[in-house]
Amino acid sequence: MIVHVAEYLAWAISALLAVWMLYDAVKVSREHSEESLTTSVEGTDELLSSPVAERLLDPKEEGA
Amino acid sequence: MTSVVPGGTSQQAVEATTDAQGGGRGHLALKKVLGPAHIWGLGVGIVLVGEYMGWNFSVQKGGMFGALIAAWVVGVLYTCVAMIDSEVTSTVAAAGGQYTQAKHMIGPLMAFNVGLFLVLEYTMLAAADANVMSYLVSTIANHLGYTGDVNQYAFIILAVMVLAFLNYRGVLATLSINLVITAIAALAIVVLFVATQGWSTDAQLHFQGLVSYHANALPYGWLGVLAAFQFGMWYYLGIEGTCQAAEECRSAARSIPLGTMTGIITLLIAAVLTWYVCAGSLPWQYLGVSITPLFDTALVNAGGAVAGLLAVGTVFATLASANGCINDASRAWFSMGRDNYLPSWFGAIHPRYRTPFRAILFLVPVAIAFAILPVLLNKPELLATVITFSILSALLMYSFMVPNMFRFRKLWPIGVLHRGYTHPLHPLPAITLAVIAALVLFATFLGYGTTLVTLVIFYPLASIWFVLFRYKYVRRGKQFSMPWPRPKGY
Repeated sequence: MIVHVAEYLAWAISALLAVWMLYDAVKVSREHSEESLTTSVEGTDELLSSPVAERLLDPKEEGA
Repeated sequence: MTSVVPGGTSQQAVEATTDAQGGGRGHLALKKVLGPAHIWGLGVGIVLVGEYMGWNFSVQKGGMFGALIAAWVVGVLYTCVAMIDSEVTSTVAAAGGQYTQAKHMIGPLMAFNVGLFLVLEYTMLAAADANVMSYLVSTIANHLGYTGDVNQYAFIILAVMVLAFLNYRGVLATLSINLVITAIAALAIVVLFVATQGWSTDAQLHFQGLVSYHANALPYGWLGVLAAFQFGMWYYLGIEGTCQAAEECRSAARSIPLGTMTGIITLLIAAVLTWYVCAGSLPWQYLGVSITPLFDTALVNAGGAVAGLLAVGTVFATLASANGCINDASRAWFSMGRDNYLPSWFGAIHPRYRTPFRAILFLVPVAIAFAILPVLLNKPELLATVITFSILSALLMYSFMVPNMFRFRKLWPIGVLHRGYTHPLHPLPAITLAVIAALVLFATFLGYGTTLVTLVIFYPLASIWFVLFRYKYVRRGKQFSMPWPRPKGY
């Protein structure tokens, strides 16, 4: 009996989570432009603030 | 600092474009919130389920010593993987891990293939974990006196959905939970060692009878040892997943090497402890086919409370592995979308949770499909095939890491690029990795030749598709946005 209840609960929770995630994904996609959602670039980390990075960020050195 | 989130609140917009938090320069970015402990939890979490189940099939192939030799030799392979990844990824603060390395070091076609290796490795592993999770629920129900059949579909899908939801809502909570449940699962192995008085060979462990004779130690000789390598992968498979979180670390240069190297140390210790307590407790004929060897060892040698802890550890390790795999597969898929190797639609980031939400959602049905396949077709042995897909994809990726490391040191020698970690003895680790990866690949071919051939056909076909239909969309210049100096010789 408990196992059957657990099974029904599992189905219900799964359905609820799936519907919520799909709803949220559609909502976000409608409310925000595609350009704004896909603007990310590779990370830069603390390398940006290190002395080595400052030298690397020199436009003359950049170009990789 | 300008808003790039027209529909979001100003708080979200500011948060999404803050230099310190998100990479700055007006880009919506993944959240930089992870530290070394999260990286440890991610790497060890993906792997530790292999200590709880799977590694012991190496005993079936090579006997007790065969499994131990496999643990050592494959341990060397993964130590090399961890060292190489720690160095390269400490300079590449980007999601995608080895895919991003391939993009920078070799080129688009290699990067596309490595990206597919990664997605297949982690999605297949997540599918296998979800399948195992449903098996564990059935086992627990049976232990509690339930005699009927448990609906496995319900629990497979529940496991994937709950973990996907966690991943969707944010990386910090996801990997913090992973850290806690992984630590408990790892601690459970140590508790078992203490409970069996592992320091004393006269107490509960019986190596004299179980291991010492040739028929138990090396029943199939050295060929058996070679065959055992394939399942020796289980002790460590997935530690390289730490690299996928590089873009979400507060400091990738610090967190990736620390988390990865402490992770591989933890796994080496866990592998030897696991072999030790199991080999001293169970005959090799049983250990080689056991589904839950650590739990069985606890039942035989430690009793109620410890067995309960190991049962919890088994469930936690399985959940942590599936959770980490969903995290990693989605980052690899997202990175490929961001660079237009796949439709750029997959390269979107959630403006509130700052996760690759479309990549996460897309991989959910894929993971569920492979997880339910063995149940649907009533062929439990298909689970081994699913796992072998994962292992072979990983092996192909390790093979790529060898030329990748040589090129990395050649193009950006020591001193030219800021490294969070520099691995010693180059090129010895890369050469060792190449030799052992070839050995394991051969061992896997012996056991799963058809699966290997399937993959060898699949990847070239996928490459042809990429060259014909996707390559024209790859933004060759835009995909390199890190402030690296020009490579040597260019």
